[in-house]
Amino acid sequence: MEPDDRAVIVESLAEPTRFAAIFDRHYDAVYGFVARRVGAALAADVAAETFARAFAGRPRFRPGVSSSARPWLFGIAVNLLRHHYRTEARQLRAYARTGVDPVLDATPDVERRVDAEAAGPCLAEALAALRPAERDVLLLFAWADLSYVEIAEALGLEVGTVRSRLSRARNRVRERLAGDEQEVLETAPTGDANDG
Amino acid sequence: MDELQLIREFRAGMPGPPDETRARGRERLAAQFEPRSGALVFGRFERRKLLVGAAVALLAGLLAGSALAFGDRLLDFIRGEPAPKSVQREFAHLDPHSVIPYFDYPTVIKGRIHGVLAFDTAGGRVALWAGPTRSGGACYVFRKLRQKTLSDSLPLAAGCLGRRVPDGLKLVAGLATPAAPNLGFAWGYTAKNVASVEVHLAGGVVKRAPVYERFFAVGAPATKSLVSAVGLAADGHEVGRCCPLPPVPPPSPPQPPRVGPYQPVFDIQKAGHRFVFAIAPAARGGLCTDLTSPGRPHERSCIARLGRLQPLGLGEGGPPGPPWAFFVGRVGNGVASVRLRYEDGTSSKVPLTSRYFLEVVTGLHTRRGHRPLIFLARDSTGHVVATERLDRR
Repeated sequence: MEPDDRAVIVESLAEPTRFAAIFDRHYDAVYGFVARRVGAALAADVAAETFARAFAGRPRFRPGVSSSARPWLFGIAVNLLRHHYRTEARQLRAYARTGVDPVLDATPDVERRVDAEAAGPCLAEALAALRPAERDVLLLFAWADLSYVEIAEALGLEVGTVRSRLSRARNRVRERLAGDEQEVLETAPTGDANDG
Repeated sequence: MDELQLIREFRAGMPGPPDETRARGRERLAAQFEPRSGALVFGRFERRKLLVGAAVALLAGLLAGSALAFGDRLLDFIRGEPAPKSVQREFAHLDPHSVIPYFDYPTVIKGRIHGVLAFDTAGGRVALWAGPTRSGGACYVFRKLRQKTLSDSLPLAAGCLGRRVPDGLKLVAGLATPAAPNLGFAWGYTAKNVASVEVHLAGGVVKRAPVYERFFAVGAPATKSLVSAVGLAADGHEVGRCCPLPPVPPPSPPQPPRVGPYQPVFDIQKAGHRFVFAIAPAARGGLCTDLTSPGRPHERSCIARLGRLQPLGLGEGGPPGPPWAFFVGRVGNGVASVRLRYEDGTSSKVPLTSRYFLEVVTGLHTRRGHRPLIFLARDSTGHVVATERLDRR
Protein backbone atom coordinates (compact mmCIF):
# COMPACT_ATOMS: atom_id res chain seq x y z
CA MET A 1 0.00 0.00 0.00
CA GLU A 2 1.22 3.50 -0.85
CA PRO A 3 2.14 5.61 2.18
CA ASP A 4 -0.26 8.50 2.80
CA ASP A 5 0.70 12.12 2.31
CA ARG A 6 1.66 12.62 5.92
CA ALA A 7 4.02 9.66 5.85
CA VAL A 8 5.56 10.83 2.59
CA ILE A 9 6.14 14.33 3.94
CA VAL A 10 7.76 13.02 7.11
CA GLU A 11 9.99 10.75 5.01
CA SER A 12 10.87 13.72 2.82
CA LEU A 13 12.42 15.46 5.83
CA ALA A 14 15.17 12.88 5.73
CA GLU A 15 14.96 12.10 2.02
CA PRO A 16 13.85 15.25 0.14
CA THR A 17 13.26 13.47 -3.18
CA ARG A 18 10.32 11.63 -1.61
CA PHE A 19 8.42 14.90 -1.86
CA ALA A 20 8.10 14.30 -5.59
CA ALA A 21 5.29 11.87 -4.73
CA ILE A 22 3.29 14.76 -3.27
CA PHE A 23 3.81 16.66 -6.52
CA ASP A 24 2.70 13.70 -8.59
CA ARG A 25 -0.41 13.18 -6.50
CA HIS A 26 -1.65 16.74 -6.34
CA TYR A 27 -0.10 18.88 -9.06
CA ASP A 28 -2.90 18.45 -11.59
CA ALA A 29 -5.59 19.30 -9.04
CA VAL A 30 -3.77 22.41 -7.84
CA TYR A 31 -2.96 23.50 -11.38
CA GLY A 32 -6.57 22.91 -12.47
CA PHE A 33 -7.95 24.99 -9.61
CA VAL A 34 -5.57 27.87 -10.24
CA ALA A 35 -6.06 27.74 -14.02
CA ARG A 36 -9.83 28.00 -13.63
CA ARG A 37 -9.35 31.07 -11.51
CA VAL A 38 -6.68 33.03 -13.34
CA GLY A 39 -5.89 31.20 -16.56
CA ALA A 40 -3.30 28.74 -17.76
CA ALA A 41 -0.49 31.25 -18.16
CA LEU A 42 -0.46 32.26 -14.49
CA ALA A 43 -1.40 28.78 -13.31
CA ALA A 44 1.89 27.27 -14.43
CA ASP A 45 3.83 29.68 -12.23
CA VAL A 46 1.47 29.65 -9.26
CA ALA A 47 1.18 25.87 -9.18
CA ALA A 48 4.95 25.40 -9.41
CA GLU A 49 5.49 27.98 -6.68
CA THR A 50 2.88 26.25 -4.53
CA PHE A 51 4.90 23.04 -4.49
CA ALA A 52 8.19 24.86 -4.06
CA ARG A 53 6.79 26.61 -0.98
CA ALA A 54 5.21 23.43 0.29
CA PHE A 55 8.56 21.68 0.05
CA ALA A 56 10.32 24.49 1.91
CA GLY A 57 7.59 24.57 4.55
CA ARG A 58 7.14 20.82 4.96
CA PRO A 59 8.61 20.72 8.50
CA ARG A 60 5.58 22.80 9.51
CA PHE A 61 3.05 20.52 7.81
CA ARG A 62 0.39 19.41 10.27
CA PRO A 63 -2.24 17.10 8.84
CA GLY A 64 -5.81 17.85 9.79
CA VAL A 65 -8.80 15.54 9.81
CA SER A 66 -7.21 13.35 7.20
CA SER A 67 -3.54 12.86 6.47
CA SER A 68 -4.00 14.38 3.03
CA ALA A 69 -1.81 17.28 1.97
CA ARG A 70 -4.57 18.54 -0.30
CA PRO A 71 -6.03 21.22 2.01
CA TRP A 72 -2.55 22.42 2.90
CA LEU A 73 -1.54 22.70 -0.76
CA PHE A 74 -4.73 24.50 -1.73
CA GLY A 75 -4.16 26.86 1.19
CA ILE A 76 -0.73 27.74 -0.17
CA ALA A 77 -2.15 28.15 -3.68
CA VAL A 78 -4.89 30.48 -2.43
CA ASN A 79 -2.30 32.53 -0.57
CA LEU A 80 -0.34 32.90 -3.79
CA LEU A 81 -3.50 33.76 -5.72
CA ARG A 82 -3.96 36.77 -3.46
CA HIS A 83 -1.36 38.52 -5.58
CA HIS A 84 -3.64 37.96 -8.57
CA TYR A 85 -7.06 38.94 -7.19
CA ARG A 86 -7.21 41.97 -9.42
CA THR A 87 -6.39 39.93 -12.49
CA GLU A 88 -9.03 37.39 -11.57
CA ALA A 89 -11.72 40.04 -11.03
CA ARG A 90 -10.73 41.87 -14.20
CA GLN A 91 -11.04 38.68 -16.25
CA LEU A 92 -14.42 37.87 -14.73
CA ARG A 93 -15.72 41.37 -15.42
CA ALA A 94 -14.41 41.20 -18.98
CA TYR A 95 -16.29 37.94 -19.46
CA ALA A 96 -19.46 39.48 -18.01
CA ARG A 97 -19.13 42.50 -20.28
CA THR A 98 -18.16 40.84 -23.56
CA GLY A 99 -19.46 37.29 -23.26
CA VAL A 100 -15.98 36.04 -24.12
CA ASP A 101 -14.11 34.39 -21.27
CA PRO A 102 -10.48 35.51 -21.46
CA VAL A 103 -9.46 32.52 -19.35
CA LEU A 104 -10.96 29.91 -21.65
CA ASP A 105 -10.41 31.95 -24.76
CA ALA A 106 -6.67 31.83 -24.18
CA THR A 107 -6.83 28.08 -23.87
CA PRO A 108 -6.94 26.01 -27.05
CA ASP A 109 -9.24 23.02 -27.53
CA VAL A 110 -11.64 23.86 -24.75
CA GLU A 111 -14.75 21.80 -24.57
CA ARG A 112 -17.35 24.25 -23.41
CA ARG A 113 -20.43 23.26 -21.44
CA VAL A 114 -23.59 24.67 -22.90
CA ASP A 115 -25.46 25.31 -19.65
CA ALA A 116 -22.57 26.96 -17.94
CA GLU A 117 -21.70 28.91 -21.04
CA ALA A 118 -25.20 30.32 -21.28
CA ALA A 119 -25.08 31.47 -17.69
CA GLY A 120 -21.38 32.26 -17.91
CA PRO A 121 -21.35 36.04 -18.19
CA CYS A 122 -23.93 36.44 -15.38
CA LEU A 123 -22.03 34.02 -13.20
CA ALA A 124 -18.76 35.73 -13.96
CA GLU A 125 -20.26 39.03 -12.87
CA ALA A 126 -21.58 37.43 -9.70
CA LEU A 127 -18.19 35.91 -8.88
CA ALA A 128 -16.42 39.17 -9.62
CA ALA A 129 -18.74 40.95 -7.21
CA LEU A 130 -17.85 38.65 -4.32
CA ARG A 131 -15.30 39.67 -1.75
CA PRO A 132 -12.07 37.77 -2.47
CA ALA A 133 -12.31 35.94 0.86
CA GLU A 134 -15.80 34.74 0.00
CA ARG A 135 -14.71 33.75 -3.49
CA ASP A 136 -11.83 31.71 -2.03
CA VAL A 137 -14.18 29.72 0.19
CA LEU A 138 -16.83 29.24 -2.49
CA LEU A 139 -14.36 28.04 -5.14
CA LEU A 140 -12.45 25.77 -2.77
CA PHE A 141 -15.82 24.17 -2.03
CA ALA A 142 -17.12 24.03 -5.60
CA TRP A 143 -13.96 23.44 -7.61
CA ALA A 144 -11.49 21.85 -5.21
CA ASP A 145 -14.14 19.70 -3.54
CA LEU A 146 -12.83 20.50 -0.08
CA SER A 147 -15.13 19.98 2.89
CA TYR A 148 -15.90 22.77 5.39
CA VAL A 149 -13.27 21.38 7.74
CA GLU A 150 -10.67 21.10 4.99
CA ILE A 151 -11.35 24.66 3.84
CA ALA A 152 -10.94 25.80 7.43
CA GLU A 153 -7.58 24.00 7.54
CA ALA A 154 -6.52 25.41 4.20
CA LEU A 155 -7.31 29.01 5.06
CA GLY A 156 -6.63 28.90 8.79
CA LEU A 157 -10.24 29.75 9.66
CA GLU A 158 -12.81 28.46 12.11
CA VAL A 159 -15.28 26.02 10.56
CA GLY A 160 -18.11 28.37 11.53
CA THR A 161 -16.48 31.18 9.58
CA VAL A 162 -16.17 28.94 6.53
CA ARG A 163 -19.82 27.98 6.85
CA SER A 164 -21.01 31.58 7.08
CA ARG A 165 -18.74 32.80 4.27
CA LEU A 166 -19.89 30.01 2.01
CA SER A 167 -23.52 30.64 2.79
CA ARG A 168 -23.11 34.37 2.19
CA ALA A 169 -21.27 33.80 -1.08
CA ARG A 170 -23.87 31.36 -2.38
CA ASN A 171 -26.71 33.73 -1.44
CA ARG A 172 -25.04 36.61 -3.21
CA VAL A 173 -24.45 34.58 -6.35
CA ARG A 174 -28.01 33.26 -6.24
CA GLU A 175 -29.43 36.77 -5.82
CA ARG A 176 -27.28 38.12 -8.62
CA LEU A 177 -28.34 35.34 -10.97
CA ALA A 178 -32.01 35.76 -10.00
CA GLY A 179 -31.72 39.50 -10.59
CA ASP A 180 -30.36 38.92 -14.06
CA GLU A 181 -33.11 36.43 -14.80
CA GLN A 182 -35.74 38.94 -13.65
CA GLU A 183 -34.16 41.61 -15.80
CA VAL A 184 -34.40 39.32 -18.82
CA LEU A 185 -38.05 38.60 -18.11
CA GLU A 186 -38.86 42.29 -17.68
CA THR A 187 -37.21 43.34 -20.91
CA ALA A 188 -38.53 40.43 -22.99
CA PRO A 189 -41.62 41.14 -25.13
CA THR A 190 -44.77 39.64 -23.51
CA GLY A 191 -47.70 37.95 -25.22
CA ASP A 192 -50.01 40.82 -24.15
CA ALA A 193 -47.86 43.37 -25.81
CA ASN A 194 -47.75 41.38 -29.00
CA ASP A 195 -51.51 41.03 -28.92
CA GLY A 196 -52.06 44.68 -28.42
CA MET B 1 -29.86 24.09 -12.21
CA ASP B 2 -28.91 25.66 -8.85
CA GLU B 3 -26.16 28.19 -8.43
CA LEU B 4 -23.71 25.69 -6.99
CA GLN B 5 -24.10 23.40 -9.98
CA LEU B 6 -23.57 26.34 -12.31
CA ILE B 7 -20.42 27.32 -10.45
CA ARG B 8 -19.16 23.73 -10.63
CA GLU B 9 -19.59 23.78 -14.37
CA PHE B 10 -18.14 27.25 -14.83
CA ARG B 11 -14.87 26.81 -16.76
CA ALA B 12 -15.11 23.08 -16.16
CA GLY B 13 -13.74 22.54 -19.64
CA MET B 14 -10.37 23.97 -18.64
CA PRO B 15 -7.81 21.42 -19.81
CA GLY B 16 -5.26 19.94 -17.45
CA PRO B 17 -1.65 21.04 -17.43
CA PRO B 18 0.32 20.39 -20.61
CA ASP B 19 3.11 17.86 -20.12
CA GLU B 20 5.80 20.49 -20.52
CA THR B 21 4.17 22.69 -17.87
CA ARG B 22 4.04 19.78 -15.45
CA ALA B 23 7.64 18.93 -16.28
CA ARG B 24 8.75 22.49 -15.61
CA GLY B 25 6.96 22.48 -12.26
CA ARG B 26 8.63 19.21 -11.38
CA GLU B 27 12.04 20.55 -12.37
CA ARG B 28 11.52 23.61 -10.23
CA LEU B 29 10.71 21.40 -7.27
CA ALA B 30 13.60 19.06 -8.00
CA ALA B 31 16.00 22.00 -7.89
CA GLN B 32 15.18 22.26 -4.21
CA PHE B 33 16.13 18.65 -3.57
CA GLU B 34 19.78 19.60 -3.80
CA PRO B 35 21.52 19.59 -0.44
CA ARG B 36 20.83 22.85 1.30
CA SER B 37 23.76 25.20 1.48
CA GLY B 38 24.20 25.67 5.19
CA ALA B 39 26.73 27.64 7.10
CA LEU B 40 28.45 24.39 7.90
CA VAL B 41 29.09 22.24 4.91
CA PHE B 42 31.52 19.39 4.89
CA GLY B 43 32.86 16.81 2.57
CA ARG B 44 31.85 13.24 3.21
CA PHE B 45 32.52 11.91 6.62
CA GLU B 46 35.72 10.06 5.83
CA ARG B 47 37.39 13.01 4.13
CA ARG B 48 36.33 15.59 6.65
CA LYS B 49 39.04 18.03 7.57
CA LEU B 50 39.93 19.07 11.02
CA LEU B 51 38.44 22.54 11.04
CA VAL B 52 37.35 22.89 14.59
CA GLY B 53 38.07 26.59 14.81
CA ALA B 54 35.98 27.36 11.79
CA ALA B 55 33.26 25.08 13.11
CA VAL B 56 33.06 27.10 16.28
CA ALA B 57 32.98 30.41 14.44
CA LEU B 58 30.28 29.17 12.15
CA LEU B 59 28.36 27.45 14.88
CA ALA B 60 27.92 30.81 16.54
CA GLY B 61 26.45 32.03 13.29
CA LEU B 62 24.17 29.05 12.99
CA LEU B 63 22.84 29.50 16.47
CA ALA B 64 21.62 32.95 15.62
CA GLY B 65 19.03 32.75 12.87
CA SER B 66 16.87 35.50 11.48
CA ALA B 67 13.59 36.00 9.74
CA LEU B 68 15.33 36.72 6.49
CA ALA B 69 13.37 37.81 3.51
CA PHE B 70 14.46 36.54 0.14
CA GLY B 71 13.00 36.72 -3.30
CA ASP B 72 12.48 38.59 -6.51
CA ARG B 73 10.64 41.45 -4.90
CA LEU B 74 13.76 42.32 -2.97
CA LEU B 75 16.02 42.59 -5.94
CA ASP B 76 15.34 46.24 -6.53
CA PHE B 77 17.16 47.66 -3.57
CA ILE B 78 20.06 48.94 -5.52
CA ARG B 79 18.86 50.89 -8.47
CA GLY B 80 20.13 48.68 -11.19
CA GLU B 81 19.15 45.74 -13.33
CA PRO B 82 18.46 42.60 -11.30
CA ALA B 83 19.99 39.35 -12.45
CA PRO B 84 17.94 37.36 -14.96
CA LYS B 85 15.79 34.48 -13.74
CA SER B 86 18.41 31.96 -14.78
CA VAL B 87 20.85 33.50 -12.32
CA GLN B 88 18.28 34.04 -9.58
CA ARG B 89 17.33 30.38 -9.81
CA GLU B 90 20.81 29.47 -8.61
CA PHE B 91 19.92 31.00 -5.28
CA ALA B 92 16.42 29.57 -5.08
CA HIS B 93 17.38 26.46 -3.14
CA LEU B 94 19.98 28.11 -0.93
CA ASP B 95 19.34 29.02 2.64
CA PRO B 96 20.03 32.75 3.06
CA HIS B 97 20.40 32.24 6.81
CA SER B 98 23.77 30.75 6.10
CA VAL B 99 25.25 34.07 5.03
CA ILE B 100 23.73 36.30 7.70
CA PRO B 101 26.57 35.82 10.17
CA TYR B 102 28.90 37.46 7.69
CA PHE B 103 26.72 40.57 7.44
CA ASP B 104 27.43 41.71 10.95
CA TYR B 105 27.62 45.37 9.98
CA PRO B 106 25.52 47.78 12.02
CA THR B 107 23.83 49.57 9.11
CA VAL B 108 22.93 46.66 6.84
CA ILE B 109 19.23 45.76 6.61
CA LYS B 110 19.50 42.04 7.28
CA GLY B 111 15.97 41.25 6.21
CA ARG B 112 16.84 42.30 2.67
CA ILE B 113 19.99 40.29 2.14
CA HIS B 114 19.68 38.28 -1.03
CA GLY B 115 21.58 36.59 -3.81
CA VAL B 116 22.71 38.98 -6.54
CA LEU B 117 24.87 37.09 -9.00
CA ALA B 118 26.95 33.96 -9.44
CA PHE B 119 30.02 33.37 -11.57
CA ASP B 120 32.63 30.74 -12.31
CA THR B 121 36.16 30.66 -11.00
CA ALA B 122 38.82 28.01 -11.51
CA GLY B 123 37.96 26.63 -8.07
CA GLY B 124 34.19 26.52 -8.48
CA ARG B 125 31.16 28.73 -8.73
CA VAL B 126 31.03 31.75 -6.46
CA ALA B 127 27.96 33.67 -5.33
CA LEU B 128 27.62 37.28 -4.35
CA TRP B 129 25.10 38.07 -1.62
CA ALA B 130 24.25 41.67 -0.84
CA GLY B 131 22.00 43.70 1.38
CA PRO B 132 21.22 47.43 1.40
CA THR B 133 22.41 49.72 4.15
CA ARG B 134 20.27 52.30 5.89
CA SER B 135 22.39 55.02 4.28
CA GLY B 136 21.59 53.86 0.74
CA GLY B 137 24.70 51.80 0.12
CA ALA B 138 25.16 48.06 0.18
CA CYS B 139 27.11 45.41 2.06
CA TYR B 140 28.27 42.30 0.25
CA VAL B 141 29.65 38.83 0.85
CA PHE B 142 31.26 36.60 -1.77
CA ARG B 143 31.08 32.92 -0.92
CA LYS B 144 31.59 29.68 -2.79
CA LEU B 145 28.24 28.52 -4.12
CA ARG B 146 28.51 24.78 -3.61
CA GLN B 147 30.52 24.23 -0.49
CA LYS B 148 32.14 20.90 0.20
CA THR B 149 34.33 21.74 3.14
CA LEU B 150 34.08 24.09 6.05
CA SER B 151 36.70 26.38 4.58
CA ASP B 152 34.61 26.59 1.40
CA SER B 153 31.79 28.15 3.35
CA LEU B 154 33.91 30.97 4.75
CA PRO B 155 33.51 34.23 2.82
CA LEU B 156 35.98 34.99 0.07
CA ALA B 157 35.44 38.72 0.39
CA ALA B 158 33.05 40.93 2.33
CA GLY B 159 32.55 44.60 3.06
CA CYS B 160 30.29 47.59 2.56
CA LEU B 161 30.02 50.28 -0.10
CA GLY B 162 28.57 53.78 -0.14
CA ARG B 163 25.63 55.03 -2.13
CA ARG B 164 27.81 56.33 -4.96
CA VAL B 165 30.87 55.11 -6.73
CA PRO B 166 33.71 57.06 -5.07
CA ASP B 167 35.56 59.98 -6.62
CA GLY B 168 32.92 60.56 -9.28
CA LEU B 169 34.04 57.45 -11.15
CA LYS B 170 31.65 55.29 -13.13
CA LEU B 171 33.03 52.12 -11.66
CA VAL B 172 35.58 50.70 -9.30
CA ALA B 173 37.19 47.32 -9.73
CA GLY B 174 39.55 45.16 -7.76
CA LEU B 175 41.00 41.71 -7.62
CA ALA B 176 39.91 39.49 -4.74
CA THR B 177 42.61 37.06 -3.70
CA PRO B 178 41.10 34.60 -1.28
CA ALA B 179 43.15 32.06 0.64
CA ALA B 180 42.45 29.48 -2.05
CA PRO B 181 44.19 30.97 -5.13
CA ASN B 182 41.98 29.15 -7.63
CA LEU B 183 38.96 31.04 -6.28
CA GLY B 184 40.37 34.43 -7.31
CA PHE B 185 38.12 36.87 -9.11
CA ALA B 186 37.88 40.45 -10.31
CA TRP B 187 34.86 42.39 -9.18
CA GLY B 188 33.53 45.85 -8.75
CA TYR B 189 30.66 48.24 -8.38
CA THR B 190 29.34 50.63 -11.01
CA ALA B 191 27.19 53.66 -11.61
CA LYS B 192 23.59 53.06 -12.65
CA ASN B 193 24.01 53.32 -16.39
CA VAL B 194 26.73 50.65 -16.72
CA ALA B 195 25.36 47.44 -18.24
CA SER B 196 28.55 45.40 -18.50
CA VAL B 197 32.23 45.66 -17.75
CA GLU B 198 35.27 44.59 -19.72
CA VAL B 199 37.88 43.36 -17.29
CA HIS B 200 41.43 43.59 -18.63
CA LEU B 201 43.92 41.28 -16.94
CA ALA B 202 47.68 41.05 -17.30
CA GLY B 203 48.81 39.15 -20.38
CA GLY B 204 46.12 40.64 -22.60
CA VAL B 205 43.29 38.56 -21.14
CA VAL B 206 39.95 40.36 -21.47
CA LYS B 207 36.78 39.12 -19.82
CA ARG B 208 33.29 40.58 -20.11
CA ALA B 209 31.02 40.56 -17.05
CA PRO B 210 27.35 41.65 -16.93
CA VAL B 211 26.33 44.13 -14.24
CA TYR B 212 23.49 43.14 -11.92
CA GLU B 213 22.28 45.49 -9.26
CA ARG B 214 25.39 47.55 -9.95
CA PHE B 215 27.74 44.66 -9.12
CA PHE B 216 29.91 42.68 -11.49
CA ALA B 217 32.36 39.84 -10.94
CA VAL B 218 34.31 37.44 -13.09
CA GLY B 219 36.74 34.65 -12.26
CA ALA B 220 40.38 35.70 -12.55
CA PRO B 221 43.49 33.79 -11.53
CA ALA B 222 45.26 35.36 -8.59
CA THR B 223 48.43 35.36 -10.64
CA LYS B 224 46.91 37.68 -13.25
CA SER B 225 46.95 41.23 -12.01
CA LEU B 226 44.08 43.50 -12.96
CA VAL B 227 45.09 46.10 -15.53
CA SER B 228 41.86 48.03 -15.93
CA ALA B 229 38.09 47.75 -16.10
CA VAL B 230 35.97 49.44 -18.77
CA GLY B 231 32.31 50.17 -18.10
CA LEU B 232 29.99 49.79 -21.10
CA ALA B 233 26.44 51.05 -21.54
CA ALA B 234 23.67 48.78 -22.88
CA ASP B 235 24.44 49.91 -26.44
CA GLY B 236 28.10 48.99 -26.00
CA HIS B 237 29.65 52.45 -25.83
CA GLU B 238 32.20 53.16 -23.16
CA VAL B 239 30.84 54.92 -20.09
CA GLY B 240 34.01 55.07 -18.03
CA ARG B 241 37.04 53.15 -16.91
CA CYS B 242 39.10 52.85 -13.86
CA CYS B 243 42.38 51.87 -12.50
CA PRO B 244 42.42 48.84 -10.28
CA LEU B 245 42.08 49.14 -6.55
CA PRO B 246 44.47 47.28 -4.30
CA PRO B 247 43.64 43.58 -3.91
CA VAL B 248 40.86 42.89 -1.43
CA PRO B 249 42.05 40.67 1.41
CA PRO B 250 39.81 37.96 2.83
CA PRO B 251 37.65 39.52 5.53
CA SER B 252 37.39 38.84 9.21
CA PRO B 253 33.72 39.23 10.06
CA PRO B 254 33.34 41.70 12.92
CA GLN B 255 32.53 40.10 16.24
CA PRO B 256 30.70 41.67 19.17
CA PRO B 257 32.71 41.73 22.43
CA ARG B 258 32.02 39.18 25.14
CA VAL B 259 30.19 40.81 28.07
CA GLY B 260 30.10 37.97 30.60
CA PRO B 261 32.01 34.94 31.81
CA TYR B 262 31.96 31.59 30.01
CA GLN B 263 29.64 29.02 31.58
CA PRO B 264 30.36 25.37 30.78
CA VAL B 265 27.46 23.55 29.14
CA PHE B 266 29.17 20.22 28.46
CA ASP B 267 32.33 18.62 29.79
CA ILE B 268 32.67 15.16 28.25
CA GLN B 269 35.43 12.57 28.62
CA LYS B 270 35.32 9.91 25.94
CA ALA B 271 37.94 7.45 24.67
CA GLY B 272 40.57 9.26 26.68
CA HIS B 273 39.75 12.65 25.17
CA ARG B 274 38.14 15.67 26.77
CA PHE B 275 35.56 17.85 25.04
CA VAL B 276 34.32 21.04 26.72
CA PHE B 277 31.72 23.42 25.38
CA ALA B 278 30.97 26.73 27.12
CA ILE B 279 28.93 29.78 26.23
CA ALA B 280 28.99 33.42 27.29
CA PRO B 281 26.86 36.47 26.50
CA ALA B 282 28.11 38.93 23.88
CA ALA B 283 27.18 42.54 23.21
CA ARG B 284 24.00 43.26 21.21
CA GLY B 285 22.35 40.13 22.57
CA GLY B 286 25.01 38.01 20.94
CA LEU B 287 26.61 34.78 21.91
CA CYS B 288 30.16 33.60 22.43
CA THR B 289 31.14 29.96 22.26
CA ASP B 290 34.26 28.25 23.59
CA LEU B 291 35.02 24.73 22.44
CA THR B 292 37.89 22.60 23.62
CA SER B 293 38.62 19.39 21.75
CA PRO B 294 41.75 17.21 21.59
CA GLY B 295 44.70 19.32 20.49
CA ARG B 296 42.61 22.47 20.15
CA PRO B 297 41.97 24.21 23.44
CA HIS B 298 39.59 27.16 23.67
CA GLU B 299 38.46 27.71 20.08
CA ARG B 300 36.40 30.83 20.60
CA SER B 301 34.07 32.97 18.55
CA CYS B 302 31.33 35.53 19.14
CA ILE B 303 28.47 36.69 16.98
CA ALA B 304 25.58 39.12 17.32
CA ARG B 305 22.19 37.56 17.81
CA LEU B 306 20.04 38.14 14.80
CA GLY B 307 16.61 36.78 15.56
CA ARG B 308 14.77 33.52 15.88
CA LEU B 309 16.67 30.26 16.10
CA GLN B 310 16.62 27.62 13.45
CA PRO B 311 15.02 24.36 14.61
CA LEU B 312 18.34 22.53 14.35
CA GLY B 313 21.80 23.96 13.80
CA LEU B 314 24.98 22.02 14.22
CA GLY B 315 28.66 22.02 13.51
CA GLU B 316 31.03 19.11 13.48
CA GLY B 317 34.71 18.51 13.82
CA GLY B 318 37.34 15.83 14.10
CA PRO B 319 40.19 14.25 12.22
CA PRO B 320 39.36 12.27 9.09
CA GLY B 321 38.03 8.84 10.07
CA PRO B 322 38.83 7.34 13.51
CA PRO B 323 39.36 7.82 16.39
CA TRP B 324 36.71 10.41 17.14
CA ALA B 325 34.36 13.09 15.83
CA PHE B 326 32.03 15.48 17.54
CA PHE B 327 28.87 17.37 16.75
CA VAL B 328 27.91 20.50 18.60
CA GLY B 329 24.69 22.39 18.07
CA ARG B 330 21.59 24.01 19.37
CA VAL B 331 17.89 23.46 18.79
CA GLY B 332 15.07 25.98 18.44
CA ASN B 333 12.14 26.43 20.79
CA GLY B 334 9.85 23.94 19.11
CA VAL B 335 12.28 21.04 19.51
CA ALA B 336 11.80 18.67 22.45
CA SER B 337 14.27 15.92 21.61
CA VAL B 338 17.06 15.04 19.21
CA ARG B 339 18.11 11.62 18.01
CA LEU B 340 21.18 10.60 16.02
CA ARG B 341 20.75 7.74 13.58
CA TYR B 342 23.76 5.78 12.32
CA GLU B 343 24.48 4.11 9.01
CA ASP B 344 23.94 0.67 10.56
CA GLY B 345 20.35 1.53 11.48
CA THR B 346 20.97 1.99 15.18
CA SER B 347 20.25 5.30 16.86
CA SER B 348 20.90 7.08 20.11
CA LYS B 349 19.25 9.87 22.03
CA VAL B 350 21.23 13.10 22.02
CA PRO B 351 21.15 14.76 25.45
CA LEU B 352 20.09 18.40 25.43
CA THR B 353 21.25 20.93 28.00
CA SER B 354 19.80 24.44 27.77
CA ARG B 355 18.92 23.60 24.14
CA TYR B 356 22.54 22.73 23.31
CA PHE B 357 24.03 19.38 22.52
CA LEU B 358 27.55 18.02 22.23
CA GLU B 359 27.68 14.52 20.85
CA VAL B 360 31.04 12.75 20.65
CA VAL B 361 31.32 9.57 18.60
CA THR B 362 34.24 7.17 18.93
CA GLY B 363 35.18 3.58 18.14
CA LEU B 364 32.70 1.66 16.03
CA HIS B 365 30.73 4.77 15.07
CA THR B 366 33.69 6.29 13.24
CA ARG B 367 33.94 3.33 10.86
CA ARG B 368 32.32 2.92 7.47
CA GLY B 369 28.87 1.40 7.71
CA HIS B 370 28.39 2.55 11.31
CA ARG B 371 29.01 6.30 11.08
CA PRO B 372 26.50 8.99 12.06
CA LEU B 373 23.95 9.47 9.28
CA ILE B 374 21.26 11.93 10.32
CA PHE B 375 20.14 14.09 13.21
CA LEU B 376 16.38 14.13 13.74
CA ALA B 377 14.77 16.88 15.84
CA ARG B 378 11.26 16.20 17.12
CA ASP B 379 8.67 18.36 18.78
CA SER B 380 6.81 17.39 21.95
CA THR B 381 4.28 15.34 19.96
CA GLY B 382 7.03 13.27 18.36
CA HIS B 383 6.80 14.83 14.91
CA VAL B 384 10.08 15.34 13.11
CA VAL B 385 10.48 19.10 12.70
CA ALA B 386 14.02 19.29 11.35
CA THR B 387 16.75 17.01 10.10
CA GLU B 388 20.43 17.34 9.29
CA ARG B 389 21.72 14.61 7.06
CA LEU B 390 25.47 14.21 7.46
CA ASP B 391 26.37 12.10 4.45
CA ARG B 392 25.26 14.88 2.10
CA ARG B 393 27.36 17.57 3.63
